[in-house]
Order: sequence, then structure tokens, then C-alpha cells
Amino acid sequence: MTCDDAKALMMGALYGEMEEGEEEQLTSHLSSCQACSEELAGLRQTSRLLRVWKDVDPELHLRFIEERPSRLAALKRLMPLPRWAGVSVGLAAAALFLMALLNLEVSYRDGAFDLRVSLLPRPQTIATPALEDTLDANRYVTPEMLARVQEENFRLMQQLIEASEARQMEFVTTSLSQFAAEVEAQRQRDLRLVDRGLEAVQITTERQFLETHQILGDLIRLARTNYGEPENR
Amino acid sequence: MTDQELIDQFRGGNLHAFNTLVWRWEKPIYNFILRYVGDAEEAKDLCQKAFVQVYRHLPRLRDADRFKSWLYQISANLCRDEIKRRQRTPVYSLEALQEAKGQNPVEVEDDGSDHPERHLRRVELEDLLKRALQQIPEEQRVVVIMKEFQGLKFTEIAEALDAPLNTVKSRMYYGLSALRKVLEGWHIDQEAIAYDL
Repeated sequence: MTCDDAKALMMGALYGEMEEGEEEQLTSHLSSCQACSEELAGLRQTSRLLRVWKDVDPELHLRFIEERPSRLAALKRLMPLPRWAGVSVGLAAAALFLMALLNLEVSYRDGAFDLRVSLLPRPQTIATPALEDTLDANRYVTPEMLARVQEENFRLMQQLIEASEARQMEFVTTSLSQFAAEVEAQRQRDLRLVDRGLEAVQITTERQFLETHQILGDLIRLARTNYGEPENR
Repeated sequence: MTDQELIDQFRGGNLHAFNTLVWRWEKPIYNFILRYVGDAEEAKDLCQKAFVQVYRHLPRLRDADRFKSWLYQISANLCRDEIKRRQRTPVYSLEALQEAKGQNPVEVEDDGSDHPERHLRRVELEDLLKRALQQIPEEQRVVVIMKEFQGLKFTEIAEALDAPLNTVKSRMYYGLSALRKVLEGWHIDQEAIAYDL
């Protein structure tokens, strides 16, 4: 490797962007060439010196698209409220939520859950039996009732899934049968077409053969008429 | 979010994705231009122009993977045009005249010894490096800046400058060698700097 070739590889070596095999070639040359070794070391030092120069922040804060203010920000601009207003609203909402939570009622009636929320406690009502089963509409839901309902729901869900699967299977079977029938009908139609085509070719060929035969016969008769019967030699 | 994702969003109609792209790139592009043209106010102006061009032409950029080298290409073209414009209407400074007369821009504190120690502060060294960079040919300067300061790969530089890879490496070699000579002429080396590099 010449010094010029080595110089061509120095930049790759300096920045770690060498192709396969180049590093070995350059190392081999540098081990025997003082001048190139010193040059590479000098360039490396210059590179390190340059890195002293750090980037500066231009503080341009360029903005090409105007940021859309959020609706909340827009509302705040229209109706400026003191900071304590937000805190007050938050506290009031939390208090209402707590009151509602304390007066939450969950009941089961007519096969459905009933959820009642009120800010004030509801007056006690007299229970009136409305169902033929053992459930009491105005009593709270027990774990046993919940388990029974879940079981029933699971069973209904299974029935729905099975019915759906059966319908799908029927649909697929019907579709496949129809498809097979259509394919067979098409096949028969194609065979008939081919048959007719072959028949037509045969008829045409026969006709042409007969015409050719006639022409030849006419030619032979004409020749005999003009030139007589050939002599037997 | 990557540049490609921001570009896709921008093309999909989310114009605010462009702001994010600009905020991500304004510092490196500004510093690239600053090192290229050497003037801070000019660099701000050119930086804005660069992003205006990006905004106009980004929908037509075919390969979003090439965004980085394309952005540098736009910036380098603007810098080149600016320098050509300056050459048509030259402006002289007293400093430049003094340097042309051969006066060393580096002030040496002579303490009387054979090897005077010069303690350069970082800001002084940056100023010297800026001047040294302006001494080397423009086509070498842009490669040195892109490689040394912007951290682009040689292949990316070749793409940005639309030049062969070997040409780029050659310009880098000669640029760095020229800088080395300039700095050695000003006696700026590792020993002249008070702090560790």
C-alpha cells in the first residue's frame, strides 16, 4: 500500500467508518511508515481540538403552525376564574360523590339489577312480593342470588353460541353443495360445447376431403380426355 | 416519535407535527449554518429560510428516510448562495485586514521564557476555531462541519452534497489537514490549551 492509498483510508479510520479489510491494510502500512502514523495522529488531534467548539442554543423557538388552544384554555380565557374557584368546585364535586356513594342501593327485580343513587337517604318502603320464585325484590342481592344469575347467563350464552355455530355449519354445507352443483353444471356445459366443436370440425374436414377428391377426379378425367390413356411400357 | 412518523403525520394532515420537527432540528441546523457562514444574525435568518423551504417541499419528499440529508442539503445550498452573494458585495473588516497583513490573531502572553505559556479560554478558542474554519476552501469546510460538528456519516454527507463518497472523504482529509496547518501556524495545539480536551 502506498502513502496516497493510506491517506485515502485515514478518514475512515479516524471516524470508524471503514470497509471490511481496510483496517488491516492501513494498520499494516502505519506499522512501517512513520510519516503516515504521525499524520494520522496529527489529524486526530485536530479533530479533538475542533470538538471544543460546542453548539449554542439559538433560542429561535420557530413556530410554523399556530398551536390550537385547548377548549379548556379557551374557556379559561373567556371566563377567567380565581384559582380557589377550581379547588372549590373540586371539593364540592367530591362531597356530592361521597354522599351519593353512601346512599347507593343495588337491588334485583324482575330478572334485572336495579341501581339507585341519591344524595339523601331514601325512606324505607314496605316490601311487596312480586315474583313467583324465592327472590324478594326489595331485599339486597346476596352472593347466592348473584351466582345463580351468573350461572343462568352462562347457560344462555352457551345456547346462543351453539345455535350460532349450527346455523353457520348449515350455511357452509348448503353453500358447498350449491357450489359443487354449479361446478358440475358448468363442466357439462363445457363438455357439450367441446363436443359440438369437434363435430363441426369433423363435418368441415369431411366436406373438404370430398371436394378435394372431386377436384382430383375431374382433373384425371380431363387429362385422360386430352392426352389419352397412358401407354403400358 | 421518529422523524418519519412526524413526516407521515404531517402529510396525513396533522400540521402541528411540523412544529415538533422544527423544534427538534432548529438547534443543529442553526449551528451548522453558523459554522458555515460565520455570522450569528445571518445564521438565524438562514435557519428560518431553511425551514420555510422544508415546509413548502416536504410533501414532495419521496423518501422520508432521507429527511436528515435532505434538510442539510437545503441548508448547505442556502449557505452557499449567501456566500456567493457576499462575494459579489464584499464587506471588509479591520480584523480581516490585520490578519491579511500577517498579524497573528492569537495574542501571546510573553512571560519572557523560551516557551511562553498561553492560556486560552474556551470562548477564545472557539473564536479561533471559527476563524480557522473560514480560512479553508468552502467545499472542504462544509464537509468538515457536517462530519465533525453535525456527526453525519460520510454516506449522508455524500447524499446531502450530491457528491461521490470518495470525493467527500478526500475533501474531509484535505480540509482537516488545512485546518491543522492553520492552527499550527497560530501555535494552537493541545499543549497551548489550559484545560484537558
